This record gives sequence, C-alpha cells and structure tokens, in this order.
Amino acid sequence: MMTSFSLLSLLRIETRKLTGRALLWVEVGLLALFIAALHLALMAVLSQPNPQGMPPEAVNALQASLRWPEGLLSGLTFANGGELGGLFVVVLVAALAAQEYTWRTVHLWLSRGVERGAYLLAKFGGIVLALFLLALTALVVGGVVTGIYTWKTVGALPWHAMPWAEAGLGVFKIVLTMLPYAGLTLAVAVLSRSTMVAIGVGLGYSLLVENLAVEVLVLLSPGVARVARYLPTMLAKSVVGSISATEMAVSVGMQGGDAPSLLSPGLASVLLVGYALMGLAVAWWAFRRQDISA
Amino acid sequence: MRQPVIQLHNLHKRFGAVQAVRHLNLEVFSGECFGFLGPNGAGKTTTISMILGLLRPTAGRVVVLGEEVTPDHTAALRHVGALAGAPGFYPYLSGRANLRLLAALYPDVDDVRVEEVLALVGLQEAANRKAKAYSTGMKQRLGLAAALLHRPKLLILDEPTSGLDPVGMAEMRALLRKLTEEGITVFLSSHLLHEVEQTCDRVAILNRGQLVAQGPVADLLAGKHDLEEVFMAAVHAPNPTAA
Repeated sequence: MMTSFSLLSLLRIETRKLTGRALLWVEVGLLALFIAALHLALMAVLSQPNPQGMPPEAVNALQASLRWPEGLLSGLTFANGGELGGLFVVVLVAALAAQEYTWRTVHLWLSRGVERGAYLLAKFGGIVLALFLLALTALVVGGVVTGIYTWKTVGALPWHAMPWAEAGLGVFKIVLTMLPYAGLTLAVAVLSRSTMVAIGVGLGYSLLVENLAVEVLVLLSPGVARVARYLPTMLAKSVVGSISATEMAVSVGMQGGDAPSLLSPGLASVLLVGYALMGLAVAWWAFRRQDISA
Repeated sequence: MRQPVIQLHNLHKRFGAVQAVRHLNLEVFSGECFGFLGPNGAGKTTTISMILGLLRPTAGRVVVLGEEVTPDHTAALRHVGALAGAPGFYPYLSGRANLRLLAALYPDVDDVRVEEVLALVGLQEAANRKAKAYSTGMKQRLGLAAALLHRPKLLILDEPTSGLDPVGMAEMRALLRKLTEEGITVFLSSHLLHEVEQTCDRVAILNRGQLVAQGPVADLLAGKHDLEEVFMAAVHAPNPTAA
C-alpha cells in the first residue's frame, strides 16, 4: 500500500508559493495605503471647525473611534469582506487558484500523486492564511495611524486600556467576513480555469449584485430586505458590528427605515463559514470530475 | 520474472463524439525503455494523461506499480516522474526555487539532491534565473530535473527532446540510457523515431487511438530498413475496425 502526501507538507508548500508571489505583497501594500488614506481623510474632516455640519455628539463619537483605545480596531472595518477586503480577496484568490491551470502547475502536483482533495484543501488553507495577513495588515495600519493621531491630539497613549484580546478576535472576525468571497471565487476559478472569469464573477457579485441590485430591491420590497439579511455583505456587517470600535460606523451605515435588520453575530458567523464551505464543496465537486490533459 | 510497471487494460477514452483511445492493452516491464509512438492525434498524450491520473478513462483500467490509478486514487504516482507536454512551473520563482518547492513534498529529498539534478540536466548556471526567463529547451531540462528529483522507479516522458538543440538531444539520449542502466523504467513518447530506435528496447505504435504494432525493437526491425519504415507501414495499414 502506498502512502499519500501529508496535508501539512502541502500546506507548507502553499504558504511558500503564496509568500513568493508579488501579488500578495502588492495587495498588502495597497490595503495599507487605502486604510491609511481613509483614516487621514476622516482625521482631516474632523480637524475642521464644524465638520460637514455633523452634530457634536457624532463628531465626538467619530473622534473617539479614531483614537486609542477604540481606534486600534478601526482599520478592521475597512478590511471586512463586505467592503474593501472583499475586492482584495476576489483578485487574490482568482490569481492563486486559476493561474495554477494557466501555468500548468496543477499538473505538476497531481501527476506526482498529490490527491485532488488534499491539493484543494491545502490551497484553501493557504488562502485563509492570506486572509489573516490582510486582516492583520488592516489592524496594524489602522492601529499605527490612530496611535499617532491619539498621541498628537491627546498627548499620551492609553497603554493600560488597550483592547488587545479584542483586536485578536477582531482579526479572526474580519477573516470570517472574507471567507464567502474566497469560497465563491475559488469555485468559479476551478470551474472556469480562468483568472479573468473568476475576478469578473467575484467582483460582479460583490459590486453589482450585493451592493447595487440588492440595495435597489430593498427599497422596492420589504420581502427582499428580509432575504438580504442572509447575504454575505449583510452577515459581514453583523459580525463587524460586534467589534466594539466599529459599532458606530456600522450603525451610521445602517441608518434608514428600509435597511434590513441584521442577524445576530453568532448566527452570521456560522452562515459566513457555511457560504465558504459551500464554495469549497462546489470547487471540490468540479475539481474531482475535471479532465486535465497533459 | 520481470514485473509489469504499467498495465493498461482495455483502455478507452472518448471526448464527445471523438474516440481518442480504444481497446488499448499494454504492458511495460521493470527496467526497460519503452517507446510509445504514433502520429499527431493518435492518442499518445491522452494515454499518458490517463496513466498520470489527470484524465478519467471512459472505460478500462490503468495499473501502475501494481496499484490502480484513477484521478481519485493516485498514490502509485508518488514513485513516478513525468515530463508530459510543456512542463509547468511557477514563473515568478527561479529554477532552483521551483525544484526546492517540489522537494518539500518528499521528506527524503534535500537541497543536495536538488543540486544533483540541476547538474544532471546542465542547469546549474541558470538555476537562479526566474523560470519565466527560461527558453523552451531550458524549461524542458528543468522539467526533466523535476521528474528525476524524487528518484522515481518509473519515468514517463512525452516528447522530452522538444525544444532541445542537437547537443541537448544527444545528452538526453545518453541520460536515458544511463537511467535504464540504473534500473529505472522509461516510458518514452516521441516523434523522433531514430531517437527511439537508439534508446528503447520495445515499442508500441498507436494510430487513431488504437494499438497497431507492438514488440521488441529488434523484432520489429526484422526485414525493415529502420523504425521509420516500421512506423509508416503500421500507420498506413488498413484499419481493421474501419467501415
């Protein structure tokens, strides 16, 4: 009886492939840049005498969310799957999965006896590690920018009151919000074997279906609003809302009578994982049946 | 008694209306160099893809090193090295890094072995260049290095001299002879009949998905000028299943 390759060694290989790719580091850099720029823009608005005609309590709350201790977590908001994070995830996963076909490197592993299930699982494991890196980047950049802002506006940093544990949990929660987009893109990449198709479908779903079509339909029918609560973007909002510093940002975004009410963060987390597993299952179903000619 | 290393039992592969491989029965034995010949579209690459678990046969069985191979069960391929079609590599990694990545799959393959195979295929000097900068011939050499990396018992080569210059071809022939002398079984698919004639012990000729000739090179050459004559006679013989 011949033995199969260990999943751990395949995961190590995926990690090496991933960290060797310029795309990953470009995405990390871009995400860092976006988060820093968004924070700086908000800080610039707040530095005006009467920022955008906002009520004083809103200004105070926004200022608090940009200062430590709460500010430490503020970068995470932007990286969630329903926002910038989703777009980054789609591009990254499409490239990581579909380019294995165009480069013919999928042949390289399968023809050596690597089992298809193990290959796909390791690939997904590598993708999850990349998501952690993106979420961690958001936390660190947001933390650094808000730390500097705190020091400049308050004159000291409240080291004793920092929510370190919550920050760790926040990274985990943001990864959860990214998972459905990773699952969807992986499934499309395997089905189509094309980077462009995977990016097109992933971005099309994220930008057109979830953001545009659903928001229009929600205005037209309360029934759609109820269904929309189960979409990854709304589930992401629910999970992001459970990160304390981001509560205000979510509540500001969710104002308006027609906005669908959110599910509990626990249920939302379970459904987010469910969506990701669904994508993985579709990818596995397609990959098992795929003819890959030498 | 010699052990069969590859056994194909009544192998079929159909792509829609096209019957790419039909009724293919073949045995390749341990330690031999087996030539697998046929014109373009004969079904050679399809057969190799099924042996490597990349394609699912429509019917029939593939047995490699005593174990059945299907896309769901490929454990036997752990002891197989393959250079099939244009070899695939991570273009953003160097040749050496590509081999080290593959080496990470095998606990008994270390950096020393990576350097050994790089030297064997003459790629040491270019080993730090990114794979995307390699010429076709260099990619072919890297593909061979990857196939040999884990000291396979069976080597499956599909057009290994494609892209190589005459010196490279001669080196490849010498290498194949050396490998068979070391006891490695070589399954060689090639259009270069002279190369096969010089290198292989037995050959099989495939035409339109069917086996049309098979036997030791010496037997097939009896009464013939060279392997090209044998090949032409085999592929131009009336098809027994036609009409």
